[in-house]
Amino acid sequence: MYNTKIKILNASVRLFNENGIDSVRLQQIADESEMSVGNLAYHYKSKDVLIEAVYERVFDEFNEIFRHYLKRPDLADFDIQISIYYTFFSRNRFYLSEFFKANNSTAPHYLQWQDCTAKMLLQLRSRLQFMVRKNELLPEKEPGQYELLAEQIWMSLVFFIPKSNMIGQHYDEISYKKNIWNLLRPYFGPDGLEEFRALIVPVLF
Amino acid sequence: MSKNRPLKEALTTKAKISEAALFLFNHFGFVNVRLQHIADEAGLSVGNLAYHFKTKDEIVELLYEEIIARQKNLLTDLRMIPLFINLNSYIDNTFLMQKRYSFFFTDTLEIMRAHAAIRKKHREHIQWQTIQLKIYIQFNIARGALHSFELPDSIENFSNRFILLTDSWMGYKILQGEKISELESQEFRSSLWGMTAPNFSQAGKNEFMQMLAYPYDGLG
Amino acid sequence: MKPRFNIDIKAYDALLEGLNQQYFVEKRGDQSDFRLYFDDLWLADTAVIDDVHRSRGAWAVDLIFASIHNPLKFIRRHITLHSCPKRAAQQGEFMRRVAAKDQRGTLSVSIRSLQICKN
Repeated sequence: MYNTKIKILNASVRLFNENGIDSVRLQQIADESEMSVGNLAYHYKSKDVLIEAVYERVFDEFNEIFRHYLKRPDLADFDIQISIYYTFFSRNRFYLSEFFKANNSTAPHYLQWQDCTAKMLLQLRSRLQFMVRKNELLPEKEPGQYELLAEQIWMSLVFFIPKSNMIGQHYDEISYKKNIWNLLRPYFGPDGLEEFRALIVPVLF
Repeated sequence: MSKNRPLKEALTTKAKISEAALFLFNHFGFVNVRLQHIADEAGLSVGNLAYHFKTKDEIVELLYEEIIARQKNLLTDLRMIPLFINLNSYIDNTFLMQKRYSFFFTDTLEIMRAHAAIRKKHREHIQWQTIQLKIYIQFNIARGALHSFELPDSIENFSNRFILLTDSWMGYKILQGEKISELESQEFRSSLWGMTAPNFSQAGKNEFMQMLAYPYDGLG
Repeated sequence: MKPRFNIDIKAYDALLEGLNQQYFVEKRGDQSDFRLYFDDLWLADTAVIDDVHRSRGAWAVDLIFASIHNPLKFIRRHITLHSCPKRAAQQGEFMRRVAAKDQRGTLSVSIRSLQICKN
């Protein structure tokens, strides 16, 4: 029963990614999902309703990522989460440009987006603290050092794909992961380095 | 003489328009500004404005050229004397430049999507930027201020990372709900140096500490 | 867009901190943690007491199983609800008699075995 709806949503996300939300018409979405506009209108009355449904699904996916936190205690846990972030951000690229487009800071989806990014940052900070406590990362040399690192990781997670895309640089999951692990690498202590070499480095080549 | 005057006047009008456009883009977002608004801000009629710039795209292209020219200047300075202190002033000046043209750095994705011509130029520009930065890092590794990079990291990865951070920092801060006018160059600096610091060698550390101790030394 | 449940950011921070803590504090459990589930032999040596009381506008019948060795060790089970107090009392009586059947005769506990000090 929901198959048609999912098909429509997937088609819309594909088109939004390529052309931006504003310039996609219902006709195009109907063509992309191989159905008539009438049939499409049966499922989603207007473009606004459709956009809302797309957003809703995006936020569901986004929130799902947060559950992958410390399911296991080693570094691979983070690696798994990075993979999921990659899948999420590469599939929903259109998303970011929508948020940076205008100061629509009162729109409900903008507030949700802000909420999600705040959570993302908190989780990164908390994860770094955990790694420090577990002796994987060296203790802080200067106050605020890991705060900065969390911000840097956040920016890489969010902006890597759209910016690579923008400057026409090839990217894939490996280069995405490399970028983040390279940020972390200089901070590893001896234990962390050993674990990094055993668990993570093989994945990156 | 008589030929020169109107030309000069045209230039100043053009400058006036681009200033007005820049102000509006920065405050209201690139997509929200229309030619009518720019004309009002510059104190011209739309018709007069259309004589100088036919579309909004032309204004953006002009502004983009300005940004590139400034960035090229900054990087060329860095290339002549690639010490830490020069990177520091490069970072400071980049910050000022980003603040002046903040609309471009917050709306980059949207502008790139809509303007194929700028996208093409920007790709080339970023490649050029990456190469400059690579040369800078190579030099600093050679003179012993930075450690060399160990796989899976490389100079290329680092340069990409550095530029990614430089270009997306402002977007990040906006997302945190901060106002562009209240951003401090100090934060920008510590963010970028924070990324470089783990690769300092002992000599690099010393140089960095000395630079912090005598902040204006050699800045001229 | 329908409003979504959003956890307060501070609460979320505390939650993450708790998750971090878990790894260092919590130990793996062992078999003895499950004693509760299989160690129910003491139920053979219990006296049964029926208790009828008002609950949610009706009369509730509970049975209490108290160990004859130590009446403070007991469990209470809810049996049924009745709107009529007499029928509830009757039902309680029946249930107690069924549950209290024992080869040794009806087991009972006395208030004295609680050893209450009235000073």
